[in-house]
Amino acid sequence: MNRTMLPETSQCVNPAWNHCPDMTVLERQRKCLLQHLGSSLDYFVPGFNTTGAFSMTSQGSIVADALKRNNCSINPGKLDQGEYSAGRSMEVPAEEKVKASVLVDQESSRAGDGSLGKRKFDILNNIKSEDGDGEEKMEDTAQSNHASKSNKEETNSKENAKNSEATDSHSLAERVRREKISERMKFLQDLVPGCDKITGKAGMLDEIINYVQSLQRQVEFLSMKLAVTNPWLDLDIDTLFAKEITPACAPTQFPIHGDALWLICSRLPPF
Amino acid sequence: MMHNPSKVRQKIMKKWIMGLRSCSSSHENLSLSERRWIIKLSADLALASVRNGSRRWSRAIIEEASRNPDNKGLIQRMLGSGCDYRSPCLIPREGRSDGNGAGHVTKSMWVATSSKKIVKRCRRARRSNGRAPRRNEAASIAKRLVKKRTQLLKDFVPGGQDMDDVSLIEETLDYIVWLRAQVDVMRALAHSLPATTSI
Repeated sequence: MNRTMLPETSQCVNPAWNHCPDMTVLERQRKCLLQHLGSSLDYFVPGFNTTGAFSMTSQGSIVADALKRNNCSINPGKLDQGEYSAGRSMEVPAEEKVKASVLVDQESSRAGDGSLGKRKFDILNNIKSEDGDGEEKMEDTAQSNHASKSNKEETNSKENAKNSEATDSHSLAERVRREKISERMKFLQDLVPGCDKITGKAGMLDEIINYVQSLQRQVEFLSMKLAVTNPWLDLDIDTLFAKEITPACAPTQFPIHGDALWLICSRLPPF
Repeated sequence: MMHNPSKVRQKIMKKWIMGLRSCSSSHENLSLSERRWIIKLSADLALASVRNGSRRWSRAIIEEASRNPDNKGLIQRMLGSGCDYRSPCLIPREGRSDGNGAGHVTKSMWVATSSKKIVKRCRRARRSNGRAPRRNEAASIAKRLVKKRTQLLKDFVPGGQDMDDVSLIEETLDYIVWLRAQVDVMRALAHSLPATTSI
């Protein structure tokens, strides 16, 4: 990801903010980060394709990748300016990215084709809440920015972050997987009738299995019924197809659909 | 998932009826069970072909149907002789004459499943070292229940055997939606046709 995608770093050095004595370095850093993340979240737009089959996993990974790339790209630019501490870039642990991606998954699943703005807002909120955890570390490392010591601390914190990531990655992956599963189960809850009051996984799976079984049995029953009632399998479809070929009938008589086959079926009483 | 349900149902209906028509001309006197089989099979194939093979269950339906040599004619008529819906690892190699197109498993799949089993065994051995406290018994029972049901679900959803949990649930979601469409289509036709019963 190149720097041209990021807004001008000089914008961060906002003269208005410099005049505001109440804003600490910390708050300024946070605002810059949010600003940059907010703009680069537009990158995510192509990933949020909720049409077609489920692609939640791919969306989640797109977000996570973009976040990772984003953090890497913020790093060189910000170090030059001295705005962001070296530690800050490392303080976006895998946890945050994962949480953000999961949150994005949730949002996209909840919103369906809903607005992207709401998702951005929630992602930013999520990252804001994570800021509080790394605040102390940020302050320490922010002060040693200009010294050459910052480089050593950089490498140390890098190693620490890597070690903790290595040991936590397994549990993180588990957590991500569990959250994905629970999300999908929520969808299934909406889809399968009678699942609203059931909370346990085993009970829900029971209901899902029963529902799939009942649908498959319905298919068998209906095919048997058709076999019994129409022994010659001709189904008298010639007349149906003939109606299809003729131009659309008067709208007063039939509903809007042009397809005669479905016209016939749609005039049936609702099931 | 399904952009326009009514259009989807129309497509399924059309394909299904075309399949039935192609059968009725070739077979004059069929038994009841044979008729039922053809009706169900053509409905399943219509559903799978409209789903376009982008989902595992739709490919699995076609693969299972093509295992039976009697169905090949209908499959070819409904889906065309190209039949792109079969996943690459299940396309029979040349020279196989047993008719079981979905029998063999690639080496990488075998390695993957066997290594998964080894990992599971190690985990089980680690757990049964006596370290598990009492409070985890309920959790392990719950896990076992969930596993049992997951296995059951895998049996019901076509093509669900080799899937992990997350994709299994996704497949189930998709399958339920499209299965409901198939049921709607079949019910509509069953109700709309005049009953010319003969037993």
